[in-house]
Amino acid sequence: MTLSKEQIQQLFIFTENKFVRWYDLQVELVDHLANKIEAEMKADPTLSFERALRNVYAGFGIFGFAEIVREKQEALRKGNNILLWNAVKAEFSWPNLIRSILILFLIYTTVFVFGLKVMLVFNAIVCAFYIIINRKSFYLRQAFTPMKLHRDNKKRLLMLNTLPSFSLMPFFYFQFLNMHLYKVFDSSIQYSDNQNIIFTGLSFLTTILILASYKISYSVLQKANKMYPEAFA
Amino acid sequence: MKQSNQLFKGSLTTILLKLLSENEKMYGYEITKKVMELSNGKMVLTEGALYPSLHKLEADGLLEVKMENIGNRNRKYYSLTKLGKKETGNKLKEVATFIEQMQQILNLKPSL
Repeated sequence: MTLSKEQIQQLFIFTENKFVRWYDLQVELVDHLANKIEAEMKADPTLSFERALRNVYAGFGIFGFAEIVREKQEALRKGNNILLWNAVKAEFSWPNLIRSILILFLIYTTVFVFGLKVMLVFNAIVCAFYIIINRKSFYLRQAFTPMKLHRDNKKRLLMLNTLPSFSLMPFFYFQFLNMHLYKVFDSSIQYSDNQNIIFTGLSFLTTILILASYKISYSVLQKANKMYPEAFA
Repeated sequence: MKQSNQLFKGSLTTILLKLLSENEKMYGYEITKKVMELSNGKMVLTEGALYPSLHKLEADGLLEVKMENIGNRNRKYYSLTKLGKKETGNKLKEVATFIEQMQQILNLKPSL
């Protein structure tokens, strides 16, 4: 006894109605439900599809799919944090270390030789780059317009939604600079070495984090594309 | 006698890793069936315990997943990563030591 394509479609709608909004989780649950329903209907050929589905769903306990969704979100967040931490560490190991040293050198030279006016331009470029690369992942994170996507019948992926977001980071980064902005345009004010070191360190760490988050967003996106090409169609 | 839930939960990760080390790839439902079969129906692996464990192991990098089309639907297969294979050995050793200690403490094994 094999379920028809229409019955499989009904199972997708069933999981959606039971608050499993994410396609990557729906696929797995639908296969599980289908296997169990097929086994039940094979054991008792008089059993209807709807009845078998009710029996099988009852086996998931009083919380239904809720616990599975919650735990999956948690597992993905944890997994993405591990990926991010590994990506940050990778920036400090060979051969990426050379790039990191070059970035640090570039920032240091900009701050100490050209001053903070040029540094402001440098930061603006990094932030612009970050916003440009993140625009795509903002869209893919599908966090802003879930209802619209829902109406459009798009397949939303939890694995993309749980990617670490640093959307606010560049603004904090600028805020720090803003506190001293009036000084940037007043050439009579000199910065202390300590202030310059703080700017250098902050700019360096932000750049490394942006690089690492970009790398993992890209690799998770590639993986999602390979696993669920239908969600990108 | 049915297996106590708490004892079972504690060893679930080890059971999953061991099953996957013996089978190249497995999917969720297949794992529940296999556990039932190996325990002669005494151990019932619920979905609420199975999937969170699989997802945790995947997030920890011990399992990798692959999708396969099986005609009317897609199926998610799990298999061990290199790290997962290494961890399976460690977990089995841990369990063996634990069982030995429990036997000593609880006097389950008649002394020779």
